[in-house]
Amino acid sequence: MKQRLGPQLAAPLLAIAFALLVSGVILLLAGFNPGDVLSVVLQDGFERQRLVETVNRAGPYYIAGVAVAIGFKMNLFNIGVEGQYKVAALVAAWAGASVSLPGPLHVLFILAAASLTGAAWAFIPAILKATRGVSEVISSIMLNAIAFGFSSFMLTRYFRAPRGEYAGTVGTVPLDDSGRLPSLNGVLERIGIELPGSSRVQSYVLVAVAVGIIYRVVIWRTRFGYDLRASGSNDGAAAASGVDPKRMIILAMLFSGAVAGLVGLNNITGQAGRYTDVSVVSGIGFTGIAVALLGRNHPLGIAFGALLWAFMDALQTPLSTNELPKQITAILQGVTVLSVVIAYEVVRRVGVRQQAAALRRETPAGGAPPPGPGPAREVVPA
Amino acid sequence: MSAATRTTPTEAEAATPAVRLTGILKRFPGVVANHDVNMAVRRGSIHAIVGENGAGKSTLMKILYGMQKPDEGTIEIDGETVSFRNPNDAIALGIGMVHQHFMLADNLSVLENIILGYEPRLPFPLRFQVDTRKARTRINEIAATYGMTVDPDELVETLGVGERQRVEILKVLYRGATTLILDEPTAVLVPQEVDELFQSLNDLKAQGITILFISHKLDEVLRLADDITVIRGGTTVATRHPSEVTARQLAELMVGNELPTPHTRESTVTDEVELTVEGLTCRQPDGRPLLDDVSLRVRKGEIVGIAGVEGNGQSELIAAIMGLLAADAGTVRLGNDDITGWTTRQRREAGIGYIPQDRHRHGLLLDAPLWENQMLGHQSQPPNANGPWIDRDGARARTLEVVESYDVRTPSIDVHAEALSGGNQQKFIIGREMMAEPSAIIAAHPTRGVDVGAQAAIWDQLRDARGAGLATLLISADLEELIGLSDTLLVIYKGRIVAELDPATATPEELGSYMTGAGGNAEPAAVGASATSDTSTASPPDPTPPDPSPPGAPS
Repeated sequence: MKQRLGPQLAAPLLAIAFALLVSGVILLLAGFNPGDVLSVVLQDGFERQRLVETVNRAGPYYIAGVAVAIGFKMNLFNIGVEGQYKVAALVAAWAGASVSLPGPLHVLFILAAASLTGAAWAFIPAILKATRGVSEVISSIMLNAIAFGFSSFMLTRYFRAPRGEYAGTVGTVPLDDSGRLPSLNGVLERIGIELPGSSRVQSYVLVAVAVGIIYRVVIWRTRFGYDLRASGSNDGAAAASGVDPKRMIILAMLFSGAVAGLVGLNNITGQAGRYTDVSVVSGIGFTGIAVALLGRNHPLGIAFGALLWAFMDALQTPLSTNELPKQITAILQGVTVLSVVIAYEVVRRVGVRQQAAALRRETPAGGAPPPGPGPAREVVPA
Repeated sequence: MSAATRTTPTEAEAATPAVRLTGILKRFPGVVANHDVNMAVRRGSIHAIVGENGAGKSTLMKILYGMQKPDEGTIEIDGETVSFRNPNDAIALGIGMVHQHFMLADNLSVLENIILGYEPRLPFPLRFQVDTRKARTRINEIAATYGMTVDPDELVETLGVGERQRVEILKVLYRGATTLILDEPTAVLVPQEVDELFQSLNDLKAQGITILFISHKLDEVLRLADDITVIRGGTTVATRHPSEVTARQLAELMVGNELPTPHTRESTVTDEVELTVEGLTCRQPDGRPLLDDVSLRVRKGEIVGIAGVEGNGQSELIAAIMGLLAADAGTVRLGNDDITGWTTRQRREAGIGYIPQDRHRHGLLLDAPLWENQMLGHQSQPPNANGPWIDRDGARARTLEVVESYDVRTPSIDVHAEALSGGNQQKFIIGREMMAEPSAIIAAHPTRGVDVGAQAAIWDQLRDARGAGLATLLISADLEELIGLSDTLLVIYKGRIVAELDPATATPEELGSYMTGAGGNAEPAAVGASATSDTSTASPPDPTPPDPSPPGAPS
């Protein structure tokens, strides 16, 4: 369970190289010059403005990745992050606009409201799984669909800002300034990083950092985290050690949902200040799955995955302006995830085989002890 | 004991055997599962393979079915030496296996299950279509030939266990098998179904099919088989005709001729009862009991051994004491506390140690470092925990102590548990449990699959703990271990405690017959050579009459 980052990085780096190769071939087949794309990536991709966009996008991706990773850590697949953050963002935006509190308290209140709502939404698949054995994959993916309908119903019916004032977009009442996080531009300027006028570094990225620290501490340093990892590693051994499997399912899903609730707040606590279909974009929950896979559930690995994903997203604008296919970034992302998953499996199998070979060499030939049943793998005939 | 089983075995002897195994050796990391296996199976006979669990029967059959490759030795089918790469090779040569756990798709019909993977196709333009009519004709043919009735259109999920087994056998026959391997086919059947199965097997034999029948139920084997091969410790020790052997003699062959004399030692048994089980009963959903009114007491400084053929309720007894299985009736007490309703964690915190029977499934986190494995089962207590936090330093220090005191050979405490050999993993588990200073410990097969050196060390550790006042419940299939360690020996059979024996005086015959359900009645499944004279038969020299206490109803 202990994860060393060094050797773990070899597989994803190889996989990314492979993904670049595949994307290059696709570009060639489509009649483009991969060299052109590469030069755009290297020149425009690392412009200040693109990097700011990368960081801003990476925050929510990271939080979603952590939410998914918490589930993965105990073999739960919380595919419902998507719905959890949608509902949570709406409720938090409405609740935040309904109270007036002093600055930091107001922000904390909004974060807490979002976490609680996310956890509550995740509680539904959790209780279904613990009591009835319903697969959390199916129930949470269904709850995604329900979340979309539910949030647009609640928004138009109850949470909508009065007509007239904000004509045009449907959304909640904007938050007071006390409920918003400042941009980081000022801090960056003070340490000598000049930013182009229009860019704004959201301080929400700091929330993502905090989530990463909490994830790291809770999962690796607490008894709860130990029980969770033990359940994920070997549920039979965990149960024998005194972990109540049902309780663990519920707690893990609540924790995952609480983190998921924070995914959609970057624009609500930022410039937009309100929930609209534009300020809370869709699809981050699914990106979180890819990011968690890329990062192998490691706190730093997920950060790497989130930044990489966001970087590839940010490439779309310069690619379009250079009349190159921006869709290549989506292909690149997809191929990267696939090859990372395959690379890890290959690395794992090679490791297992080497270990088995080493053990066989050490086994003395004679002197049969009372033989137990060998670790014979059940092979199902075709 | 049907007349069919009494065909003279000698006349077919000269013919080429259907299957011949010579010098088979199979090694797994850490253990040798089979060695020096030599046996021949006559064409058109029912050949039983008996042996205790873990004796290597299943591995041997997997070798014969191509699921495992032998490291040494040869397999001959009808006189030809063969080498199987996978089960398909074995199927191609007419060898079929009926697994103990059925491999059927519940939501498909009987017909679909039988033809799965071997579907007959319609002629060319419709190649992608299954020729159901052809399949149906073929199945009906086979069913008629071998007298096995099934409705091809019934869904498998609606079938009972006996019918499912019939479908499995048909599936194998459909693939053209002439040699059937049945892995403990009666384990899941009720008595009437067993009778039906045996009838079917005799019919198959009459049609020239060769049957390899794996079992550890001696009465059944004697009833059905033409030849019986006994496996012990991974090797074939004897082949007998049922007419010239009794259940007792078979039991003796299975467990070994002589049992070790228990080490002379002072009794450390105290009067203080630490672990009490009273009237413990657990039922399956269909009401069949897994544990039936089990009562036992383990005192401080005492090792109570539970002997029994595996699958007679040992796992359930362990699970019920550990709080992993809810009891339908009965109580469990630790010291003076009634812990029947406690959670597993409460029980562990109260001082019950646990050495699970399957260390990989229940004892270790294989992909976690040793120091995290040391916490397993003790993660809520010092030195491993400090309030809600993990105490890394405490846990690591404790792990170093375990590794040192219990001679766990490992380069460091940061290596993953899977890197250790079986013996070292087991020593580690025992050390971890002992270091937590339990007041009672459940030790299930503590030396299974470990090398001789580790075995001796583990036995010493269990004896030392007993001397220090630990109450130990020892569940094992290894009679040497049970007799060498136990102060009291109980025999479990079909979920009931059927005998309490003194390990110092128990004989292998006695144990063998209780364990196989043959004990108690004076003529244990007597298939004596002289079937005519029931009373005057000179029984084998056996001074000790079986314990008069009534055992569980023998089948």
